[in-house]
Amino acid sequence: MIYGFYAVGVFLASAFLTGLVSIKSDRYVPHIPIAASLVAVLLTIMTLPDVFFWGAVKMQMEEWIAPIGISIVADTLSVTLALVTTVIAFLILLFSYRYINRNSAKYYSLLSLMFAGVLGILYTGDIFNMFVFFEVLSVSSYGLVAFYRNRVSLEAGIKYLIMGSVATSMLLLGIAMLYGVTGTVNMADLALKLPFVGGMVPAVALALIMTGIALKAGIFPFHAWIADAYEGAPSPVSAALSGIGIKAGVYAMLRVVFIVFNAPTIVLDMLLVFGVASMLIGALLALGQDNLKRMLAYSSVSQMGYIFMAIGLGTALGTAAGLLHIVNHMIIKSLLFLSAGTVLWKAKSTNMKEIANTVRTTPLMTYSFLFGVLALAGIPLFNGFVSKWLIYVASFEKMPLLTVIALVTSAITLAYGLKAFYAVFLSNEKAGSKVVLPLSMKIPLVVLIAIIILLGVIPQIGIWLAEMMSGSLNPSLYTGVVLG
Amino acid sequence: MIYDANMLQQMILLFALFFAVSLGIYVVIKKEVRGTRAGRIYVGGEDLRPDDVDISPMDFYASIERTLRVKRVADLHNGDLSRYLMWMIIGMSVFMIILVWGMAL
Amino acid sequence: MIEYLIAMLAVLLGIYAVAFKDNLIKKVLGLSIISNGIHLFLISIGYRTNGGIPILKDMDITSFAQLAVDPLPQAFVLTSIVINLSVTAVALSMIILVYRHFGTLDASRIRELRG
Repeated sequence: MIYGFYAVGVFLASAFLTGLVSIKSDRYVPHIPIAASLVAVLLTIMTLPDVFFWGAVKMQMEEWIAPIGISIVADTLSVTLALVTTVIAFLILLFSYRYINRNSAKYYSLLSLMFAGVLGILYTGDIFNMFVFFEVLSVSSYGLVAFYRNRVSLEAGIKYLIMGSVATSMLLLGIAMLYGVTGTVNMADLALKLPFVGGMVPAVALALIMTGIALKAGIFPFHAWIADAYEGAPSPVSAALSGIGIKAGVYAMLRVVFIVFNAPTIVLDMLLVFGVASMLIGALLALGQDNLKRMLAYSSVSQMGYIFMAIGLGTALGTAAGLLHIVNHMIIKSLLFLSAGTVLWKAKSTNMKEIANTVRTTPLMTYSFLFGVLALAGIPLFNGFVSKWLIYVASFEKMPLLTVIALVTSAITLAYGLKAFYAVFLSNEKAGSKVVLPLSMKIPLVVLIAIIILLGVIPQIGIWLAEMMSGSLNPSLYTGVVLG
Repeated sequence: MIYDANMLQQMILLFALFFAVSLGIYVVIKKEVRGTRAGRIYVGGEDLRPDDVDISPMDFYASIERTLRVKRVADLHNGDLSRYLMWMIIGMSVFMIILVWGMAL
Repeated sequence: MIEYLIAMLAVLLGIYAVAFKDNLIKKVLGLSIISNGIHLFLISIGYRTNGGIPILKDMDITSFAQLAVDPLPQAFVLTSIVINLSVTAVALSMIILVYRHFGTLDASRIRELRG
């Protein structure tokens, strides 16, 4: 009984209930998703003991046996990511309570659907089911990016939609090819049958699936939509997309590459190369930005590059470092986008200089952004340091040049982070109107700061988590649990 | 454990954190330590007035941006949807060529 | 065999339409063409020459399994049709709003977000 999977149903129910309730009155529209996310956190916590005791737990939908039915699998990787996802979902929904100044049922419905999609991707063991949840996530995010319906958001939305649809179509084509040669779409069963299939079809299918997932994961050359989409979306939605949506893409890539295809070396090398490219391109583009949200968007591209480089190294330490960086970055990027949101709440534009002239920032806003930047750059005492240090060590063992590139990119990360911090928060201290943050916007910032400092000061937690999570990328463990 | 952050490192980090936090509390509480004062600026052998040394954060990294050719990379992201889709197609073709060559031949 | 070729041709034509045509409506039409190609591909995977409809009636299980066409790709296609329907609906409504704000449907002229 995987309680965590029912969180998907809880979010779906909240999406529909929000719509229904809004017909009568708008007053309680935000409360339903916030309550639903609390229930989801509870359900995920209830799944933790079983998963950490057994290693991986599975359940079949409607009691059709594997591999004919859809398997729901919870192993340490999925349940850790699901826990972080549900907690951040609660914080984002709480933040939106006052940020979105009207109780819009469309916004809360779409956001609940987005979280339902992400949790579905994390728990499913069936590749076509994963495609369906991918589409749930994608379509609701198309609507959320274009939520404000002004020039910027609409242009961002239509571009994201077209690029995203092409990518998910390629994903479906790859899945169709896999079904054609093996006759199954269960990921564990595919892992068993694919080594016996010869010819070009598995390679072509993998290429198609990887392009579909790589767009969601935001790595070069599929990163072009990220800056526009994060600029056009409301800040809590950008936090959700960057903190959670991108990570669903990375998780799907990990499942497909490591479990279904058993991580051939050529694939890992390719991930390494594209990861390094994303790292550099994202960092350089973020350095040249005037716009706060676009800078954070390109920074996400860069950090995804770190993750793919670490995973592409192929060593145990590298994989663990990459997985830990996924968790760390979820928290850091959500903090940065929410903190930027507090500033942009009352500002008239996203240009950094103009924000400084119109908003007088409070200490909480300043410190939250500063801690986010320091954690992003990998400064000790914050959680980013732990995962980045592991990445440096792991890449040094494989090729010292990679460590040099990673260090240079970290320096550029610190550069653009501090540039944004100085421009928005430190210059022009007396100008602008004072902003009084409501409690519902302060709580997410404080909670995220506390988690960042906690994981940074006690690195054992992060290292233990990384070790636990990398155990789930073992195909024989996975197939053993699913197929019995 | 794949990596052992040992006891000594942890103690050092905790002491550093404790020191930083107490220093911060001291600065916040003691009024005479808090607050800014403008002193004499003495740089490069001459006194300067504050208006002469205004560094805008936007131009701070201009020289670095020039060496690393950030403008060239930024111009490739000019907003043209057809160009973005063309990169996606080229990326997909590269994936396909490399994977077929690496996995099936 | 020929169905697979036509399906792949449709996918390639759809990708050409999305990537190389400037009008937004043509791009969305390209998305539809891609999905049509993929659906044809999926159904052809499940097809069995001279096979029967996958509805069990007056037959025992083994001969049914040998004679019927594979129903699973058909389920995939139904799911995908519904997904593409919703994507097309969202896309077209966004295009209407884009036209209202920008006055043009030319994707190379809707380029305010750059860098």
